[in-house]
Amino acid sequence: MIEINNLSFSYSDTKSFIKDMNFSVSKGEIFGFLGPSGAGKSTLQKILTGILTSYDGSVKINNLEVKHHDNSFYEDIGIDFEFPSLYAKFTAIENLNFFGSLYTKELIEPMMLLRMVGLENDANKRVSDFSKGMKSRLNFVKALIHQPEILFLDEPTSGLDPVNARVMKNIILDQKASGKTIILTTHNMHDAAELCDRVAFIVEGEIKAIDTPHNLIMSRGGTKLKYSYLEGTKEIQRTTSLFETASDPILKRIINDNKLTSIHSSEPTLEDIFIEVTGRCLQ
Amino acid sequence: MRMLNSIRNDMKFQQKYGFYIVYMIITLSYIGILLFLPNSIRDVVKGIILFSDPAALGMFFMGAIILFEKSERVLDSIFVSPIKVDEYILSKVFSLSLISTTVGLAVVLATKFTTGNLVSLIIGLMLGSIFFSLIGLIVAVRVNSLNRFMLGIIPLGTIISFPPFLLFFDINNFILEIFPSVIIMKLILAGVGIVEINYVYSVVLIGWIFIFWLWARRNVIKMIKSLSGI
Repeated sequence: MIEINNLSFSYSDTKSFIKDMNFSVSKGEIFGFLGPSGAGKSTLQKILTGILTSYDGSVKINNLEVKHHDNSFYEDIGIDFEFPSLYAKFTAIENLNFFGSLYTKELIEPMMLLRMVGLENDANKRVSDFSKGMKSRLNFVKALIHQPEILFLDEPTSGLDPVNARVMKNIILDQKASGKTIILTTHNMHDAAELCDRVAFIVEGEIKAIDTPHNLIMSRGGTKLKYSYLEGTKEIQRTTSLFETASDPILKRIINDNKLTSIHSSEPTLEDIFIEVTGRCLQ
Repeated sequence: MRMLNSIRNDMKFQQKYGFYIVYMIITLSYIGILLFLPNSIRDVVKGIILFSDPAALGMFFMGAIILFEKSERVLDSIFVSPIKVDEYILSKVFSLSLISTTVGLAVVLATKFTTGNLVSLIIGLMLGSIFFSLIGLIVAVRVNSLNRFMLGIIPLGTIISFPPFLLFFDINNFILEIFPSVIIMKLILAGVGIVEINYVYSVVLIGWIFIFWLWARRNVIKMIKSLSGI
């Protein structure tokens, strides 16, 4: 579905902003871009969505080189921007009708979209009277109205309460189940780990790692076992890999001697792995 | 179909954001002023008012529309939809020229239209509005605030709008004859029966509109690439 080969891009003649990227995204996959601000995620998405076309290398979507796209290319692209992109003086339904009218494809009924995100009773309310979370939800369903094959979602759960965030994540998973390809950009590691089939760690315009969240976590030793025990009157803490518990002589001894005071497993988060791989924080 | 939707959407935008109310107030003010003027100067003032209507309103309303769209980030979504840059420009300038022409005709008809050339008037109002709203677009897509828009539009608008007024001092030469705003003024003055018009100049005006269209197009494409968006 999406094929990127030797992609480089520069805003000036002197320095590359995107450096030699290679990856592919399959149809029906949720692929996450993770990286700190200024890492190149937005630029990469602008290239994928055909806004920036002066790149080197190859970017193909459905076998079409993106830099040669015509405007029908956008019939199959839906983008949920991080910040609401809505007419404030239009009602929710007017906004959906307005943006829907820009497409020739068959549209999803606007009221159905509003019902999906619990805004059916606010259909005729002006967007300027909406809360931040309501705008985010409307912005999100606006990207779905023309039933695009590829969805670009930028921080889709940002600013939402847990209940509405859950609703959005379920819709994203439903979209995937119906065969849509989804590119997700987020700082939220829980969302990325839960939703993404694969993620790419992007720092300074380069992909530092690319794999499934599970493999990334496991590649760094996976789950750790933390335990503490009494040595005389002193409590000592130790950590071992979960896979090495049987070969940890101290652990064996203190279990036999009944000296364990505590024991628990701890799994590294995707954020821990990101920091370990890239040496950078996500925020 | 998409083009028609786009024009309809732009008109809806203009109605929702209060542009039509402003137009209505302006129209009534124009009519009121003209009805109180003596017959001897009414047609000349009418010509000047009809010229300044597409000139000022076309430029400033286009600026306001673009700045609203920028502040609400809707351009991010519009330019990742199938709409083409030319369709975007066309629906904006056409919807504004439609209202501007309607206002102009209302002013003329409400203030005793007698001897003028209606065809010339309609062409002048319509092409004038298209030309000046393109100027508004050219400036507005390059700026992000009203202050910067005013800093750009006032010098450019003045340079372009000033030459037609030389006609009232009997100053005329070939350069003035092919100057876009002078042609617009002449078409409108012919519309209210003050001068005769050679329609060849409307072709020259269309040529000017084409050049300014390309300029606007170039600026819109630059703006799309710089949108913060995703």
